[in-house]
Amino acid sequence: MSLHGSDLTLSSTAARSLRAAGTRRRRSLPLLGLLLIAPSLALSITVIGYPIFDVLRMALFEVNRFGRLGDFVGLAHFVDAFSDPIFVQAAWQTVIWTLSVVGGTVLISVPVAIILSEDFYGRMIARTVILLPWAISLAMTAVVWRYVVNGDFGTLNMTLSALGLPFANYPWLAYPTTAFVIEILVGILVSIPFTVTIIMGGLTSIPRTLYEASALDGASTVRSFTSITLPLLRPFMQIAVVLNVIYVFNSFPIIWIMTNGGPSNRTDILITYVYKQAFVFGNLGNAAAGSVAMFAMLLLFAALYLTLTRSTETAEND
Amino acid sequence: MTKAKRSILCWAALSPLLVVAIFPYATMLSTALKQKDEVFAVDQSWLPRGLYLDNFTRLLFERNFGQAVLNSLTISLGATLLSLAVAIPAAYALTRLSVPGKPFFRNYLLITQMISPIVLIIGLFRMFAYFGMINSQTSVIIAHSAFYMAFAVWMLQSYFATIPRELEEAAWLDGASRFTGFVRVFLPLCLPGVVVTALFTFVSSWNEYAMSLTFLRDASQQTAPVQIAFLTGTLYQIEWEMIMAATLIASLPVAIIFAFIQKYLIGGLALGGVK
Amino acid sequence: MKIDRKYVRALALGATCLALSFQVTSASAKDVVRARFAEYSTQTGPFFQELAKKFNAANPDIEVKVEHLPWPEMQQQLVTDISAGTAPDISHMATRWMAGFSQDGVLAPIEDLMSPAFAETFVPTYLDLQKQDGHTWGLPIAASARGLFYNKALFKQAGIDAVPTTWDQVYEAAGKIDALEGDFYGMGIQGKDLDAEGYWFYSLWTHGGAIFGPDGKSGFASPEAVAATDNYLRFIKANVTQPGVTGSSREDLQNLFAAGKLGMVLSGPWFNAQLAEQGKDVDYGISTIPIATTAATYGVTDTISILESSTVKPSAMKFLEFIFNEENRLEFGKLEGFVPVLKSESTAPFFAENPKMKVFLDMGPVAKFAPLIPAWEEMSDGLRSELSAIYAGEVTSEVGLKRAAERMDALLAKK
Repeated sequence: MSLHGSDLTLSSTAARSLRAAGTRRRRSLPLLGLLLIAPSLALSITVIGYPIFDVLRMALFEVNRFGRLGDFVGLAHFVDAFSDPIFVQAAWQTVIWTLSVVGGTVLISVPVAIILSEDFYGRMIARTVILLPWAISLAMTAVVWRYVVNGDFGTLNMTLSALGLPFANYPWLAYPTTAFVIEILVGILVSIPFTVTIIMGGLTSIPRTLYEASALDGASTVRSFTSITLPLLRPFMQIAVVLNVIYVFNSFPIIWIMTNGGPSNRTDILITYVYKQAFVFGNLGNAAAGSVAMFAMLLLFAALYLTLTRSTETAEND
Repeated sequence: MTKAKRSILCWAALSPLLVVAIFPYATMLSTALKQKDEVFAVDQSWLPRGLYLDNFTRLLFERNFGQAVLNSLTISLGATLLSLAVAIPAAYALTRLSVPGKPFFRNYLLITQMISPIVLIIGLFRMFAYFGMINSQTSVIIAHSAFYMAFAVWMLQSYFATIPRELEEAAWLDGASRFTGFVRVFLPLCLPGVVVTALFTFVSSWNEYAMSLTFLRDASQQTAPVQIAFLTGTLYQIEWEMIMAATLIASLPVAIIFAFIQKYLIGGLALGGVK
Repeated sequence: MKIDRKYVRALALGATCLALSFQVTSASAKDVVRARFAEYSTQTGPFFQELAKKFNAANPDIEVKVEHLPWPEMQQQLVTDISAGTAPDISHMATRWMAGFSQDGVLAPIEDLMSPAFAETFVPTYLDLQKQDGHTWGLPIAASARGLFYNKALFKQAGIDAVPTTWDQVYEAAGKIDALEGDFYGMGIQGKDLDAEGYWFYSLWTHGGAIFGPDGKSGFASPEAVAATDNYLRFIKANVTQPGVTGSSREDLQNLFAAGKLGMVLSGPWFNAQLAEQGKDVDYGISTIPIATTAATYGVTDTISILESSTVKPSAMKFLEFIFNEENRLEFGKLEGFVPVLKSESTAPFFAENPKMKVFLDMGPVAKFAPLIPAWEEMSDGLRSELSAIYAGEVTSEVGLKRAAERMDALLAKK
């Protein structure tokens, strides 16, 4: 690294002195920029664009269970969906689900990432184990956890009762509250690896010299955490929160496989509601309207969140 | 604080999470080694009756699960390469060039992530069917890349932004073209970022279920998660011991990659040092 | 509307191209028949694959290609396939989906495709279930009735001499078993997932209730239905069921019974096959569904249909007739443990002389079926949801059932 280091000092002085002459010419190449962006744009517009168009159309037209379109019905499907009490209930539960999973994930991931960035024996092993939940697909995680929390044969109750706790055959998934809590915990567990990785990436980008300087100034560990770590982590936290909210909001397998939205729709979230409407009940129109509503909710969240965090960010930069 | 003392503290603080993360794996291993009549017996135990490996051999030889793992590998590698191939230029353009409509493109990328593939499945399927691409692994590779590319651009962009502009500019002064500068100076520096991004894409593709299920109909083409789901899907009986064995096999390659990738996470640390 | 028609045309074109490409790849003038089966067990797929091999060998002008899928994926796959024009020629499905599918015009009526005597080989009850609006939309590929499975060892331990035949006797027996030393549960009641509403129908029908009232509206809230629900509630309140009724699926109950922890459970003939593998030590018997006022059981069929989009319907029918010949059908029945749908099967020793199969045949005449109406899935989902609220004690039977009935009536009025 020392080689790179000396390179850097050399080149930065050189570059600074010559910036006006040599580099401005290369900086703005709008055509090249567009050309480099074009493949990615083309790929996603082709693959995702048509299905989105398809959903929009199904939301606005009469449609049978096989997607054959009939007359234009305007907002009728939306009215149908919004007047379904289960939709409203699922929307509310989606908010709880998303807030709890993302909140829990961030609260756990930040300290975990900080610990994993420390230098300690067996760090490699600890890091690998923390990443493990990510190595199984969500659907399989849900299947395995459904088995783990099974009242009579699951390994959870087996272990708890071996520890002397009174859970010999406690049916965790039979009650809406415990079922939802378990699902949220599983949701947190599977979101941690992704979040920890992002935050660790952020931590490595904070120069050690900053901490050393603040230590010299006599700042406590807590103080350097709040005044150095957290502010510099902000962009990474922003990515982690936005992406987690999007993924968790749309997360289907955990709830679908563990409780199917039950008991009594009390663990249904919008995505399971939409899936039921589309593929079990054959109401593609309602499902499409529900999807559009979900999209609008996420869009609203992202716009609000990004505006709020961006304004503080620019305020600091200026 | 000595390293030994710090180690004890760190492990102690992490232990609850470690236990929860290992718990399902322990369950998988324990169940995968059990025989059918042991899985639902009155007296449950972590330890199987004996070392019983038949579930694994049956999976690999009778159920041809090895093929499914191979298919998953092909698709995930393909999707990773394709998304990187489109994401690296895009991320470079976003960090280094002035692109008209840059904020629009960024928002667009975010928006493509907001719609769950499950919602889009009918439209996606119709489109691929229209092009006669059902039952082709290429269609899954393309679909995965399209959905995971946005995140790759995002990741790469944030890594690219940490590379000092001066390094490249110095190369240009030495007479290198933009392209040579990019390949010789820029890419090697962000290799850790590229590897981590590749890992994210690989894992997403490796674990993806809904699209693979819908596009691939031949058992010989299907991926590991789909084949595992098929084990759970018989109407009257779930073969837990087989499912657990299969899940264990399917997560093994990813776990191994994770163990190796640590090096690059530390590489990321050095990257921060340069800055 | 303009875009619309263009789109449909493009789709049709795509479908034609696809169909053409299928034909090109299939050497010369062979009829390729794609047949899709849902898996009852891991043996279902291989069984039909084997049959197709035999059939292809005997019919050089037809090539049957078998696909098999797990049940939970069947509906979504079939819907997506039909919407994109890539549906198979033959598809297995739940009979309750058939109603909606036939109304939307995606199934082919088969009465004119069948050879003359073929329809006569079926037990009329089961074939009649596949008929609607004067057409036959499929064949009953599987049929089952349900019975009371009871653990003989637990009965003996609890001092129960006679097999209970009424709900009151079952209640009493359940109490005795539950009181035994150890983690034993008296009676299993299902409150979750597939067929949770079916578990309630046992009680509904044996209390003289019905899904439709005499006025053609929902019968979910009738006095009989309330009595039927309260019947289960007394088991739950007395704590003589497995813990967590609202979290127990059919598999959960079967697993408990196979482990020897459950005294009684209502289930179907397929359960014999599972017990033979998983519950080797369980000594059990099967009896009729307990009654309150009326004898009844829940009859369920699954259907195999030819799709309207198929261009090789006669060849597809030929294959169907092959799988429904006496020999193949009997083998299938033995493999999966379903009740006979062919008249000739019913007299086979496997069914007639096996006490663990015979009880299901005997109950055939009192079997009742779920209605074939397009929105049934949605109605039964509403019912399941209310039932689990009732079982959990959140609402009374009257209130919950009334809501389920209102939902059903609203759906009936809409369609």
